[in-house]
Amino acid sequence: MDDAERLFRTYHGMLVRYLTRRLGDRDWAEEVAQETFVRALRQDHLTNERAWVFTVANNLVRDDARRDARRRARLALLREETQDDVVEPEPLSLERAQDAALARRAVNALAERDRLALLMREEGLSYEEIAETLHLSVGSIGTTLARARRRLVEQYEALREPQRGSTGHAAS
Amino acid sequence: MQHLDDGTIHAWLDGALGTGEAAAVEAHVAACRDCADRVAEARGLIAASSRILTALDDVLAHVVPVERAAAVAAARAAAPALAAVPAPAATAPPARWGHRYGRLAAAVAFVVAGTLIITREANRHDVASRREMAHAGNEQRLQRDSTPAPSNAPAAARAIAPEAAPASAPVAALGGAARRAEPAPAVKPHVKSFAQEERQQAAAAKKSVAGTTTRVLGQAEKPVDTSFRTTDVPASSTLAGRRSGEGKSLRLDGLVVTAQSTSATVPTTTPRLVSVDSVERGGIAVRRQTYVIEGGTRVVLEVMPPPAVPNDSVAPAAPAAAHADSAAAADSSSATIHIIRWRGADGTRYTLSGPVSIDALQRVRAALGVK
Repeated sequence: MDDAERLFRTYHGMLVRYLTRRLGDRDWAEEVAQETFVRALRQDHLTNERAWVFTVANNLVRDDARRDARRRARLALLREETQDDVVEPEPLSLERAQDAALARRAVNALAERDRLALLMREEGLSYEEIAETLHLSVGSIGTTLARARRRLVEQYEALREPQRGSTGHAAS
Repeated sequence: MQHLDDGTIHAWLDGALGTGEAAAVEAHVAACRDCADRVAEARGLIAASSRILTALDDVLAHVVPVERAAAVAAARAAAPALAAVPAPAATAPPARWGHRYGRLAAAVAFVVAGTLIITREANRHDVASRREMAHAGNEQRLQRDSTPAPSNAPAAARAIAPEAAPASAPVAALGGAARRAEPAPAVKPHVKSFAQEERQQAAAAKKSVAGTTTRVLGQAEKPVDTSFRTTDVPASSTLAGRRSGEGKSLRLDGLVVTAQSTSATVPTTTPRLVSVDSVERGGIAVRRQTYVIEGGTRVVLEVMPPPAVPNDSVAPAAPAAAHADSAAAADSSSATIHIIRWRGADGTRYTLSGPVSIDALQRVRAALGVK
């Protein structure tokens, strides 16, 4: 197994998942992941592969967001145009769809740094790697994660509360 | 020891603390009820946040297959080493990819099938349109066959390899190896070489005024009907045979062309259509077809609707500038242009002109099958 294959097998899954969670668009996530690995292959040597991969992915996302806001609109348009050709992985149940929507809103409510730290931690990055990627001190990562987790859960619960109320009201 | 802060608790739960620090935190949590409660709360937050984030995985995927496929292809082209790396199953479910590839395969198959059908139809149309133009180049072929073949180019090989190659290519593309040479059991050759067959058929055609002749494809000939036939020929009669050794039998698949000859007076080669254009004469659009006949001479056939022109008249030969422009341009400028005119059964008027004799023009006319 050469370096390229090892790199891909090791990090592709987690990177796509991280980007998907961050972006809410798996196609975009996979594009960014591909571009990340293309750039990784151009590097002669990577001291900290995982941190490097996530840093580059974050930068690509940031660049994309800055430079190409129209691209997302175009993707949305293409998505609508190709709606007939889309084969869904599997239909989401209403409950899962609601969960996904609430989770997205809760995550989006986090500060950018907290969100990225949390998402990277979920992919198994160490505190040192997160610190390197986000240009933070290692000692601050615990605090950042604690804040992010608490806010995420609180936000999510706050978003769920009206639904529970309406469901309970409907049930009664 | 003062109480633990949230950052330390989360770092401890995440295993991010060093050994000594972790041991100190563990000891404090064991002794401090408040911190133990906060640790329990932190565990709950970690689990809950993970569950919430998992819900983010339920997103649409592959909603822009073409663009994404192009992006992936471009990325892989830029990084060939990635090309051999399969996508992890977690991010690319096999069923979906299989479905996509199935669609792609179906699309490719559809295009290929359509192309083949169109090609076949075009060939049929071409064959049908030239059925009337079938000719008998028998005299020339007899002449050619009577000439001893070069020692390194046996008749069969000459007949098959260089001339039939273009026509047999589609056959090969359809799965038939037009000229596959594979060892076969030692079988006594029971089929004559193509050159022999050609000579016999040419002789037969010469005898019959109208009838069916069979000949091997010639360079300027067009297939009227083709059949694919496998024959056993002596290995020594083919280049491949010589390569593989004398005395072995080879199986050769050859193209045999059947042409319908309609006239005894046929030109030695089929007029080859080289251009078609349209000119206006007296307010009438005239289609002008330029053919190349034997010796590279060009003749021009003009096809025009009524009004009438003397039927089947043969006009001798005055140099006709209008015709010579196109018909004799490639030949000697001093050549005399002969013209023959006739009218078809439907009233269409034809004018055939060129720097050849009237007899030659008549032969061209017969070869073109324009009555």
